[in-house]
Amino acid sequence: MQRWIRSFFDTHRPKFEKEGRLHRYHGLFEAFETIFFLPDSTTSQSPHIRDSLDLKRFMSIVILAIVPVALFGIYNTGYYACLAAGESTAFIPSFIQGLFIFIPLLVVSYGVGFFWEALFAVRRGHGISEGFLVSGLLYPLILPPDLPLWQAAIGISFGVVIGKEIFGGTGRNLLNPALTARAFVFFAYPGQMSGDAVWISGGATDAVSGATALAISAQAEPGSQIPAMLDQAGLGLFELFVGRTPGSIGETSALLCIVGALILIITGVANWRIMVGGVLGVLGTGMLLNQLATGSFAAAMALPAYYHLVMGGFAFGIVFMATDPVSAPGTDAARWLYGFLIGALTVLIRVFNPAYPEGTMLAILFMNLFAPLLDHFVIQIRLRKRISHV
Amino acid sequence: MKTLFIPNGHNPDLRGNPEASIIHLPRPSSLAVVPSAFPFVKPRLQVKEGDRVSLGSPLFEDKRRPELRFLSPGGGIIENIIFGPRRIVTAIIIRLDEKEEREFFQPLENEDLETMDREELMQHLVKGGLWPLFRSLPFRAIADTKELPDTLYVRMDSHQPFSALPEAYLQGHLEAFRFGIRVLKKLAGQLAVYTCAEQHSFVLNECQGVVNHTVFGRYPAQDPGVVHYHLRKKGNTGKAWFITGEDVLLIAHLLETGTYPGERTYAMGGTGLASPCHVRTRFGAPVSHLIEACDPLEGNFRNIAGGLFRGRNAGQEGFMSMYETSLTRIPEGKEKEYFGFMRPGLSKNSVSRTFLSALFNRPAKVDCNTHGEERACINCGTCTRLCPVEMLPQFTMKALHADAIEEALAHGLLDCVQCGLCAYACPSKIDLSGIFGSAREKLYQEQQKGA
Repeated sequence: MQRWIRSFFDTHRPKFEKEGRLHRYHGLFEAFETIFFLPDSTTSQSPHIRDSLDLKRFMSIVILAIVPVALFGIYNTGYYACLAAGESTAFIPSFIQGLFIFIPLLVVSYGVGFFWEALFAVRRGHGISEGFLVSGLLYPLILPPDLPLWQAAIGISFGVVIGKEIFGGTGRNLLNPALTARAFVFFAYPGQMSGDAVWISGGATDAVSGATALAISAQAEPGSQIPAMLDQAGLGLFELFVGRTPGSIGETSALLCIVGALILIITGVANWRIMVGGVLGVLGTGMLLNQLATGSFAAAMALPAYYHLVMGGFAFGIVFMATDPVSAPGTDAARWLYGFLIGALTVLIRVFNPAYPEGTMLAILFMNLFAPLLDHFVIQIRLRKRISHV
Repeated sequence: MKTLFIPNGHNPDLRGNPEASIIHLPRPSSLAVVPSAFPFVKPRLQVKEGDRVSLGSPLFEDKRRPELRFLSPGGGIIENIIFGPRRIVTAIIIRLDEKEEREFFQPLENEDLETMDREELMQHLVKGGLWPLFRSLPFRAIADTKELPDTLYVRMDSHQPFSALPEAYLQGHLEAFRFGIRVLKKLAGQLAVYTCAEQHSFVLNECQGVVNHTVFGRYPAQDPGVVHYHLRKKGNTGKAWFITGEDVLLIAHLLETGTYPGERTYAMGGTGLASPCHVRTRFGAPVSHLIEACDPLEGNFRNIAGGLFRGRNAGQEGFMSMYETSLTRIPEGKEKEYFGFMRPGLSKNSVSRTFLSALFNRPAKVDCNTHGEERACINCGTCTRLCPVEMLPQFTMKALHADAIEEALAHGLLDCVQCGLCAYACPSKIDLSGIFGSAREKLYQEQQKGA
């Protein structure tokens, strides 16, 4: 097998080399070849040795961490779709149903996204970066299951082109591309992206409530007890933690997000400071609001702070989106602050802005914009401490 | 004794460490001087092919600082002068005679050293051709004879993989080493002689009263630039020079015997050698002469003189230069690895914990493959975590890309010790240390023009 693939690439390589007629597509060729074979390039000067870790593996670890969440998301989406259609909700049929919902979105996301990636790479004479492997997987996971595919396609186009490529591609973008894509869809097609009707494939029937915990919390009358209302809707703390709730395909299970977080933290691929900072931000702000809550204010103020950790997409966002190294700050102190502010903003948006029950997406995008500024301040403080060389 | 702890750095655990034993090699048939290995030196040749030279007679001088003399490591006939691109002299090869003639310099007794003044001592070293062993921070250029440094750092050992052990090079030369230290004391305001304490109790036992600093930390904690940076935190310590422990022996030899030193102990390491150990042979010996003593393996191997992280590719036909005390032979690694990025990686070498090798404490095999393609910086911060002088390499690199030299300087570009760790560990395979190196070189040239 290995020899066969090797000879395949070796026979076609000349066409993509300098004199070949397909030279302008050499980036594309290399992108495919390096999936199978690492390049044979060697160092030319010191340091003569290089670490075995490259961006392909770096990004693969992120994908590995997302896989449990994605598998559960497929099952969960399928489960609710079966429930709504009155079909069997056993594991296998639910999972298969989920695949039918998720795979088209994934194919659109990767297909359309890679088209733009490849177009820019070929025009610029760049290689195709691995970063999109992650963005392209994250994006369908934060979409509602029944989003029309053409809307998904426009969303990912916006995310890749406006969120990333116009800044120069992977490594140079200010915003997280997957979130940019989702934000675009959210604001462009609110009918398909919010409300109670969108979270269950096939549309919510009377038998199955499509309301998410966030919607219940946002619509609660002042003075009402949200935890009790959630329990009544079948969205108790345990269900929310495990993720057996309606919601975007991949973001319902806090439990599996923790599994992903552990993979990312143990391998060192994502920065734990952002995640811990985020959790502290949610708890701190949530508890502060609990203290200030009185009957006449929004009921969500009195919601115990830990509910915010398991409701909606916070766990997913802080683990997989906020830790995107490119759009997050690069200094440790700034990472703490960045995480904390994402957590704090998430709670504030959720509690005080009922128009956007899900605050995480906006909080991360907003903080993406501030990441360079946070870095700037941290660097200024560091530089002041440095003794200049004479 | 001051103890210094350097928090950042990295010690890769690699296969092919040299044994402490020393093999004494017979005389090679030819020796060479490699002018390009001297930092910022523009050689003006004083010999031509066919000339007869003796051990210690001048071969070339620096065009900018003619007082710097570079002497012949052996006696014989100039066989060949090799020029590189733009007629840079890359090697002056001397075929050794049966009976090597040698130049004699005036030897020094212990008493002479007491009475002699600094200037006179310095002239001895300059004439004896060993002045280039003194280098100055921050540029690591050859020290200026008109300068008086506040501190002179003497580095006893190096954490760089496969470098010479003090046990090996000091063996039988302890007296000479102590004499050398007495010489150095006259040259600088203060002397900081240091060793990496956790590794070498030998040095601490044998050199009591000489070693006055111990350094804890991983590579490149022992680097004089790093030590300087961390000592300086407690106030400005001004001009600093450095020299290595191996070189102190050369100075002692020159002053004690009045002859240009001819021998050195080299550490031989890497997986390209069946029996890595230390060898003792002539200064400027051919690479092939050294590796043959350690049973080299057949195949596509790279010979690196001066260490994996900061050495140069010495080629198969190359020669050891004055500063290099180690020779490492590792595979070139010009192969395309099948599904390389997906492998569990039981024996992969990595700073990260993304390979299973992070779970096992097993020395890894390394080669010169880049293990991936170059990509844009994703701001992962691995370089920052490793940088021994607390720079933010990714931000410094971006400042240099934007031509913001002042900003890069504020970030500590001059503190950079060019240990190579940032470039080594970068998952985007950006040659950070190369970028810093050329920026520093440009700065030095500009400073010289201004002076």
